[in-house]
Amino acid sequence: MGSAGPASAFSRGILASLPLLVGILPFGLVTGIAGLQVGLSPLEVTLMSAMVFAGAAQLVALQLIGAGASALFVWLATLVVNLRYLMYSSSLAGPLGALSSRLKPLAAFLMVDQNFALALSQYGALGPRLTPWFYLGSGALLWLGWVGSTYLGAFLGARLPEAWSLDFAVPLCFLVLLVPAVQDRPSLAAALVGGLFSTALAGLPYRSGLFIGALAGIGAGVWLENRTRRRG
Amino acid sequence: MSGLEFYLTLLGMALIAFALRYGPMAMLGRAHLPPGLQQALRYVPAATLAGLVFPALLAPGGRWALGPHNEHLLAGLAAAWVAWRYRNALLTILVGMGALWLLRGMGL
Repeated sequence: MGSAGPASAFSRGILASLPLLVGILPFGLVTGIAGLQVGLSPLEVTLMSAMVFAGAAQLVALQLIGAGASALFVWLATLVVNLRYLMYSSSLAGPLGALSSRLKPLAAFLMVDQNFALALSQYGALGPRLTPWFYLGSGALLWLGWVGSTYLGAFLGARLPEAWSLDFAVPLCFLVLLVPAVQDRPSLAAALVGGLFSTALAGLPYRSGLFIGALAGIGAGVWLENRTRRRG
Repeated sequence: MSGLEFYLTLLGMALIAFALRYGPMAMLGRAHLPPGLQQALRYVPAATLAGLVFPALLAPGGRWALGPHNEHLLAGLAAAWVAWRYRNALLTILVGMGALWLLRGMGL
């Protein structure tokens, strides 16, 4: 695999993530625009991207802030939408185990869907010594792209006419993430049940239908998986 | 939301996002997630993301709107096909927005 130092692994992580920016940038632009629409300043929404670094959670939080929800509901939404990081973090514990205890929090902070998938796929080739540096390079670039595109979106957002219905880009961003999350019949059931429950309960205050819908969807996925397994 | 309330909200969001990312990594070797929880967590992305997509397409005005007069649904279906076929974020957003503008322009 060529030269084998941490520095070269770090730059290879950056290079491998450049194509992924194409997926990050429009999402960041939409987040920046959404921040402006709910009354945040460009600085505030950019700060949110820098500190939270979680696109789906930020978009939901912005919708809730726009709807006048209290901090508690925003935190609950952040928790639910980010639950998948529990899974990512436990899967990455091994590949990132060689990091010092000082760098581990940084590695955790930079964790997103893209570098999680990338680091796991490269672990076999890079091994335990280089994978953490590859992952950190990837995370650093994705973070910069995310913060930069949020600012750009907030900067441009004030100049874009409302007739363009740019708020429709928000569910389209979620759609981009949803499609690869549906991999088999149980996850399809989770999506259908979760989506239909959330739609039926969309009138509940503070978008609490989203939480109930998510629980129903998770239940449907688990139920179908267990039933399929029992039947062999 | 006032300035102070926003910054408190933001701080809490940052802490929650960080704790979920750091917790399992920091505890590994001492504790594992129980298998039942691991199984449930696998379905979180599909269930929550669908909960964010479906209402915007099936009930854009807050009520069910199934049929050809719902331009959000038609544009969303076109975007879903592109997302599935090409796995490309930019293309999906462009097709979805373009379809919405086109349908609006045609006055459907």
